[in-house]
Amino acid sequence: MYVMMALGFSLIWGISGMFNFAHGAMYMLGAYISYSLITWGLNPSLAILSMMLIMFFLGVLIEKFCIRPFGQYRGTMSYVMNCVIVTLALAIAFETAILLIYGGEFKTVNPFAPGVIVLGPFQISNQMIYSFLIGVLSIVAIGLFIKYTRIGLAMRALAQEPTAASMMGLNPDAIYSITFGISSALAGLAGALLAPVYSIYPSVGWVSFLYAFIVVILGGLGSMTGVIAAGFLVGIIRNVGTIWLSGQWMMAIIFGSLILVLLVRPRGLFGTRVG
Amino acid sequence: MEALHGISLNVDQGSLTAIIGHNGGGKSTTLKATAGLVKVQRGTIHFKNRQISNMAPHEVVVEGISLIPADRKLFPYLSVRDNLRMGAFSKQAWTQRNRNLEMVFELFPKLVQLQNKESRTLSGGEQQMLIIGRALMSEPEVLLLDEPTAGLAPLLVNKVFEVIQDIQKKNVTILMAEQSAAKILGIVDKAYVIENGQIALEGSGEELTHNPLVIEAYLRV
Repeated sequence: MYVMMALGFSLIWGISGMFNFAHGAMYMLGAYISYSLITWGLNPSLAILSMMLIMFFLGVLIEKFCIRPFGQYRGTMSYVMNCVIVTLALAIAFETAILLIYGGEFKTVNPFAPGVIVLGPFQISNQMIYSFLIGVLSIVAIGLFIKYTRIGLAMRALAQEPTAASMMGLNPDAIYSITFGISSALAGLAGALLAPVYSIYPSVGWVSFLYAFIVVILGGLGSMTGVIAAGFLVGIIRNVGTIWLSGQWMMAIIFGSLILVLLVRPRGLFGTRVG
Repeated sequence: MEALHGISLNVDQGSLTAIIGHNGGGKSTTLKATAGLVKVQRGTIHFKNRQISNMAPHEVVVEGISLIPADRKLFPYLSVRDNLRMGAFSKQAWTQRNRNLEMVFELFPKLVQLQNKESRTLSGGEQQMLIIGRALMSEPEVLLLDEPTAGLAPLLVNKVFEVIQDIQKKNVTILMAEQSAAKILGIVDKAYVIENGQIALEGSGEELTHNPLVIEAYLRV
C-alpha cells in the first residue's frame, strides 16, 4: 500500500515538480467515500471504481483551480512553497469537512472479503490478500500505462524537458491535470483498500502520507522502480518489525534507515531521473 | 527587453529561407516568436491566412510549424525510439506514427541500431539526426531550424544540409537561422540578414553572395 501512495506522490513530484500535501487527504477521502457508497448499498467493487472516478476528477479540479494559477513559477522554490501551503490548506479543509459530516470517532469498515486463511501459525485475512492483489495489479497497470501509452510517454517527456514537450504539441496543463487525477485516484484506492483493515477517522491520511514521503525519498525521487522497491522494503520492515517491536521503535528504525541511506546515497536507493 | 525592433519577413511555401547575421542579432528570437516560445509585443505572424502570433507552442505545432531549437532539447532519458514517438504526439501525427517512424529511419539509417538507447548517450551528430527526425514526426508543413549545424564537424554539416534539402523536396517549407553565411547562401532560395534586431538586407541567395556588404561582414574568412 505504501507503494501505491508513494507512486502517486512521486508522480506529482516528478512530473509537476510539486509536493502534494493533500495526498494523505486523498487517501482519507477515498476511504470515506467508498465507505459511504458501500453503506448506501452499492456493491463494493462498483463503489471502489466510482470512488476512483470521483477522486480522479477531484484531483483534476484541485490541479486546475489551486495549483495551476501558480504555474508560471514552475521550477522555482516559491512555486513549491506555494503548492505546499495550498495543498496543506486543502488537506486541513477536507479533514475538517469530513469531521463535520461524519464525526471524529473511529469507524470500522466491514471487510468486503471477510474470512481468514490460516497458514500454519499465521492468520491472514482475506481482506489483506484481496487488497494486496489489487494493489499489485494497479501498480503494474500504472507502470504499463506510463511506459506504453501516448499519455504515459507524454508524462515522461514532460518531466524531462517541459519546453520541448510543448513543442511536440503537448498541452502541459492537460498532462498536469491528468497526473494529479491519477495520483488522487491511486491514493483513494489505497485508502479504500485499507479501510477495513485499520478503521477510518478523519486524520487517517497523515500516516500514509508520511510513509509515502519516506518511501519516495528512500527510493529516489525520479525512479519508478526505486519507489516500488523502497515501498516493498518499508512495508516489509514495518510488518515484520511489529511482531517484535512497538510502534515507536518502528518509526525510529524506519527514519534511522532513511537517514543512513541518504548519507550514503543522497539520491535515494535508485534515484536518478524520471524513467 | 525588446530583442526585435520591427522586422518583416515573408517565407514562400516550399522555399528554403535563411536568416543570417551575427549572434545576438535576433535570429533565434525570430524563430522562437514564430514557434510561440516568445511573446510578440507588436505585429503579427500569419500562416495560411491565419493569425498565429502568440499562440502557445503546442498550438503552433498543431498548425503545422515545428521548431528545432538551438539547444536541441532531447528527452535525455527516453530512448531514441521514444524521442521519435514523442515527436508524433499531436493527435493527427500520432495515427501516422509508425509510417513516419519508417520514413525517419530511412532518412537516418544510423538511428535504427540506436533506437533503444537512451538519447543522452548519443554523439553530437547522432543527436542532431535524432532531433531532425523527431521534428519530422509531427508532419510539419514548415520546419524552423535554429543553427542546425552549430558545433558539428564539416562532414556532418554537409550531411545536415543534404538532409535539409531532401526535406525541402518533400514540400516542407524551411526557415533556418544560420550564423555562418558562407555555408548556407549557396543553397537557399532567399535570405534575410538580421542585425541588432532589424533586417539589414534581404534577397536571393545568389544576390546576397555578390553583395559587397555581405561579403565584407560575413564572407570574409
